[in-house]
Amino acid sequence: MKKNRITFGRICIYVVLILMTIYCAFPLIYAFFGSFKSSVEFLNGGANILPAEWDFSSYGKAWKEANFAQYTINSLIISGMTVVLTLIVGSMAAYVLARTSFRAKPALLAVLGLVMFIPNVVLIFPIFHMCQTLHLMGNIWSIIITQTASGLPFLVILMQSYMVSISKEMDEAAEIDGCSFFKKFYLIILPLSKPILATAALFAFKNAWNSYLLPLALSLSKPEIRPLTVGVIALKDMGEGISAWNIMIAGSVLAIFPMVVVYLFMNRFFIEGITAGSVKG
Amino acid sequence: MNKFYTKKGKLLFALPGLLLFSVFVIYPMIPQILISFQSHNGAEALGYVGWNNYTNLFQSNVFGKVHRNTYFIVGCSLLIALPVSLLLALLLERASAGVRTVFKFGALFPSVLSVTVIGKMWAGIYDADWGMLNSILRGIGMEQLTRSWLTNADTVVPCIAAAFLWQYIGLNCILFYAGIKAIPEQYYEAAIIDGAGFWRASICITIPLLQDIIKYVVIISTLGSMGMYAHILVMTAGGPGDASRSVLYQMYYKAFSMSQFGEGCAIAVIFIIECIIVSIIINKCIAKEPIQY
Repeated sequence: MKKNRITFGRICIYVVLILMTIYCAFPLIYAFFGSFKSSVEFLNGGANILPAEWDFSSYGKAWKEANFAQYTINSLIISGMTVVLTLIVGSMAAYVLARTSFRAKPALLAVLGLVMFIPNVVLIFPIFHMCQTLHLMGNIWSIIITQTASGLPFLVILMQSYMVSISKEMDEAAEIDGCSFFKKFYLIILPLSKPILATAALFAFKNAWNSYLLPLALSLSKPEIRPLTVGVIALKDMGEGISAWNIMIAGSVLAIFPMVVVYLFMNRFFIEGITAGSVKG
Repeated sequence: MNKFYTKKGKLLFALPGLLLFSVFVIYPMIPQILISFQSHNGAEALGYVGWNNYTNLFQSNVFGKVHRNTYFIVGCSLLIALPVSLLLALLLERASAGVRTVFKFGALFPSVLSVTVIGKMWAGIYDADWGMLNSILRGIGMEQLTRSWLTNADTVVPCIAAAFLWQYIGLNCILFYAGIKAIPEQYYEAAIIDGAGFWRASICITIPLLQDIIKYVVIISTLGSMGMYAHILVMTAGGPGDASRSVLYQMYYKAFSMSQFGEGCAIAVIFIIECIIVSIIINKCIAKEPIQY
């Protein structure tokens, strides 16, 4: 394959890639610089990206009045714990479903497959009621647990199908060496399943980070456990009328920031997880 | 340790997962179905009304509209976003290393942003007076194309779809790219000797071998777009009027804005059935034996 010839095809490739990069990146850049514009300049519009005068006051307002540090920590706790819980509980269930046979197993797998597409928001009302009766309202764990549970059907199936593909010979060798069922799990299956665990973790994190209605409903009585998704919206009602746009975008940029840091550190891991995981998943 | 004990012990291992799943996913469907036959204001049930909630739904024309919107977005993500991200991945494979690094970094970024941030950002872009889109259109002299994107019933759904798909095109692209990288180089060498160009090689080799990943992306795209409501909530709150509501948004609206929880639950029950049908269709369509390399 000659890689360095300039051909019509190659030019097309770059044009498409550049257009897509603009589509992907421009909204972010626009929002970022927009947050430094003063309210007047922002509302006057104009296609210039950079502000004429740099104005940092929206950031101060967003940070002070909107409690962003707290929301960010909440979001990180909720998403982080969801990932941990999903991995522990999900991988154990997937292991049993992959390595044992019992009478209800086909039915169980079928049920998991059928409910996989049901978004957790559909069940919000009964879940809300259940958390009330269980006295879980205003407890950050209620968000974590419901979030974990709703992701389980898809992720258990994903992990199960990967674990099924792991060669049984290893299990047998381990059994001869005297490994118990549990030991086999954490000495053999878990290490070999790392790629799919990474994929599942990414998926669970993404969902928990973006979940909106469930945390909104479950944190109604207790604003201190709100995650970012819910917190940013509360900014809308701040400031005088339309000028709140500015603060909200500043708030949004602040909300992006922790993710950028996580992302910079985790980028490699994400990509590797996806790479290895999805090839077999 | 006798055999009976070990078998029970093994199943015990799956118990936490199954418990969570049955308590928070399966069990809530029961009260859901019960409430859908009641008149309910959120605090207390006001008695059974039979099939009234359901007949009300089927008689209102909003119900058809919210389904059109929802499946429009599902269609867009499967028929537009998926091929576009596949194409991007194919092109990316041919780009230089520098371009690839930049793209790989940028592509995953939107998918880790929170949905409210994205919604607000795009609402800003579409704003009629000071939004970026109209500013650019004015700047390049296409004044006649400017409009109030999110308050116009004709443009609002595609606009929301663009913002929604924006978030995951990059992620899908990276998934496909990862799959392409896993295809052994010899296949392409053989194809090039046989005189196959980029398109031919892509269609005859890459895409068939990407089957597994395509399945995975079809599943997560459907899953995501069926459950779409937060973008709508943040960007337009369903407006103008009821033009941009999805099924889930309509459920939320009925239950929490109108306090008609009975009807909200009826929508939810119907949507659960739809989700189950969708999963059967998808399973039927893509459940084939995996390809051996």
